[in-house]
Amino acid sequence: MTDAPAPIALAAKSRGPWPLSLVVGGALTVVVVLTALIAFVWTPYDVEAVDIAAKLAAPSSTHPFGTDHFGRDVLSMIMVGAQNSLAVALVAVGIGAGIGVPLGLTAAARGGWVDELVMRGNDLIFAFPALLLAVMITAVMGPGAINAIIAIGLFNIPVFTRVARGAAMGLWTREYILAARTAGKSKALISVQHILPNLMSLLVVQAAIQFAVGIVAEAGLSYVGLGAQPPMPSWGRMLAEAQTMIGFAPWLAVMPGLAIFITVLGLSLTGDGLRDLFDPRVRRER
Amino acid sequence: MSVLDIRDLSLSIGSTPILKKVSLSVAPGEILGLVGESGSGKSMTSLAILGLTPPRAAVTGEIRLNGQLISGATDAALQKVRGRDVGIIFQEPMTALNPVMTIGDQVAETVRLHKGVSRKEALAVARAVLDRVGLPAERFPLSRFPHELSGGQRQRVAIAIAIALTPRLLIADEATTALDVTTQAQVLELLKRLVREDGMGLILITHDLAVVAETADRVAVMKDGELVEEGDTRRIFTGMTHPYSQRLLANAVHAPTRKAAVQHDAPPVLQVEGLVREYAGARRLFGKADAFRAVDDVSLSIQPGESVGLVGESGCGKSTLLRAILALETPQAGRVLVRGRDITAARGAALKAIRRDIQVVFQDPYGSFDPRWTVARLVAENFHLLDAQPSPAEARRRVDQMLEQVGLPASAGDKYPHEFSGGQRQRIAIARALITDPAVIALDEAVSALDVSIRAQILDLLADLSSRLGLSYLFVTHDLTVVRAVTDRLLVMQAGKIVEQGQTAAVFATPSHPYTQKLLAATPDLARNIGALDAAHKETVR
Repeated sequence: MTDAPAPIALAAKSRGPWPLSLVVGGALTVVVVLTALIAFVWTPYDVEAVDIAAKLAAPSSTHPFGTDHFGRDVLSMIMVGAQNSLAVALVAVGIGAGIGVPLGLTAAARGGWVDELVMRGNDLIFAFPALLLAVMITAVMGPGAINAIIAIGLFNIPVFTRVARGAAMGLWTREYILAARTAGKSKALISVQHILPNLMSLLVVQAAIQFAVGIVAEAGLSYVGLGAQPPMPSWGRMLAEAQTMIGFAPWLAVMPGLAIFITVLGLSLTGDGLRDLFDPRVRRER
Repeated sequence: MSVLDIRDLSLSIGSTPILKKVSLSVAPGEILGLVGESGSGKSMTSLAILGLTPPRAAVTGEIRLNGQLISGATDAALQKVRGRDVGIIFQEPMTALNPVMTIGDQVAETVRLHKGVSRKEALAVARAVLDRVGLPAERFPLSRFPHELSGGQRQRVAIAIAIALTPRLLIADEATTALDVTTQAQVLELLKRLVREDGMGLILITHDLAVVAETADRVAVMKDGELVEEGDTRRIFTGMTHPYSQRLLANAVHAPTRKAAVQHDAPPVLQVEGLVREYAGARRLFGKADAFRAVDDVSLSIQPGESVGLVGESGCGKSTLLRAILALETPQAGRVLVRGRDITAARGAALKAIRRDIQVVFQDPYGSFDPRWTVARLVAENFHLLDAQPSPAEARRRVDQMLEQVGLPASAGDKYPHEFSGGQRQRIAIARALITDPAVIALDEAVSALDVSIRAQILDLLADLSSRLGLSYLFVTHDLTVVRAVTDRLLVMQAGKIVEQGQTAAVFATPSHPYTQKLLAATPDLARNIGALDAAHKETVR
């Protein structure tokens, strides 16, 4: 008579080959992260060095990605821009998970009015379009990378709350949770010791997806001028500036566009791959 | 001519043999009981008949249906056979039906697929078939959805789908296992009637020997993919020749030897007084919500060393009662005293002290452990109830000692739950319950999911622990056979109330409440059935 739901993302028991999406996505992500790290110690050119003589140079051996209208090296700007994008998205995911997961676990554990309060608060944030929310925050607090982080992070909270609450609710009916309760453990302790570890794989997958969403959101905010401010390079602003020159200097738009594309693709594939890896049901069907 | 003829059917997946040279036949109008424990290959045999073996399985041998060779046939050819010549009913009535299709459409679907008739004609057939399986039009119109039906009614719909085209062969794979005993008895009766009326062959796959003894004409016993014994039901049950079948039968009727050590004069270890547990029903626009009383003014008590059974069908409130006793749910009224202390009123350290004395073993040997914890950590979880936590080394020493007590090697502590079999996991659950040295252990269907041989071992272990440690048990179960074998006293629960209680033997001998009588009559009783088989045989011989 067991009508129990299938286990939520149990660790894969049979160590088969890794999902292709994880291998490809992981490789792309590693390339992007390495690029950002290398930019801390070395870039081909100084990103703030203006060289009007070499302005709008097409990609060549001296400037592999070309130069912009101030003669700045596009490759260097993209490398440093990666730092900005990754940092904003990473911290925003951290904020979302750091606040959202405990909220979701609490809502699932307590139920009743606590659950109601948390979930209606969630709906409130969800109801605002993410970009509008960001515009509001930056309008009040002024543009800048920090405020972009807060805006994107805030948007991430309900996503993590929902995922954590939904999965935790399923786990609370399991017999091992009942057994832990007969061991006299408080709901908070059970949430930390039993629920959270069993949700981890699910949350890691969600984090990878939110990371990708965060990159796009950051680029969008920078594009409308609400993200990182000059002279700090950012992919979104590079795209915005390239707009008027796309006819005669297409590389200015193509290069940051590709950077965003590769990063988001890499992270999304990683998320999909991790889900396949963690979820034995998806694995079998592959 | 036989309906089904299987010759030397072998099946392997990779290098693992699943079936080894199985030969079987079923005559028209005959019920063949196919019994065996989990992993014996009985379900795989039925899937092979339908050509539904896993994609990587290598199959050899011959399967003939109505004389027509179907082994090795193409999938397109087999699709015509499935549903038309062979019908199958699975165990789980909850998932066997499509929840978004009406029952009429689901039965009609099979008809339309094979007969190519119009929807209207197919629905007319569906109506007739549903009438035949005991779902009359006035109460069960074709427009009903599965969620509006009970488990037994859904199983009737599944049967209707299987017999809609009057197949020559019907396969019932544990089709009554998930049902309550009274419903099970009705469904078995229905299957017998259909076999008689249509003259089809029926393969009744089950682990329950008592069901086979009262239903089947012939019995085949499987073990590890081999057919170890086959013959007339009476012959099998009165004179089994193969040691495995003999062991199977012995385990099925196994009653552990228990030393009567009930301390009648001592104060009770568990006392429940006037317990009420209500659930709020659907909210009304005006006025108070309807309340559903799952547990209605229940009182009971258990003496030290006593083993008490609490039986009833699903939905009778026994699980809710158990949860209230374990303080997992708060009752609306009444008290639960564990060694004189009220668990419902206690909080904090006082509650922990009471919890040490009452522990629980759950049904599902797969769901009752956190898959990410080692066995040692799981068993040690209840140390949380102690005022002073033992040191890690001391905790481990006590865990290892406890694992040995329940018949597991101490090295088990470093492994994870999924590395153990169902019976071993139940031993781990018992070790976890025992680690704080409790006075009472509640067993929530604790042996229901186990094969008979494993069940016999666990019952022996429980009996042994009880006599050594003076433990009291509260067996909460729907399985009367188990209760009869291991309890001193019996409580029968129906619709939230205890309707009958008394010494187990006395209740079984002279049940006084009509519900108890109905329950006992519906419960397949192996000894009684074998006796009846023998009597019928003597009758015919004379």
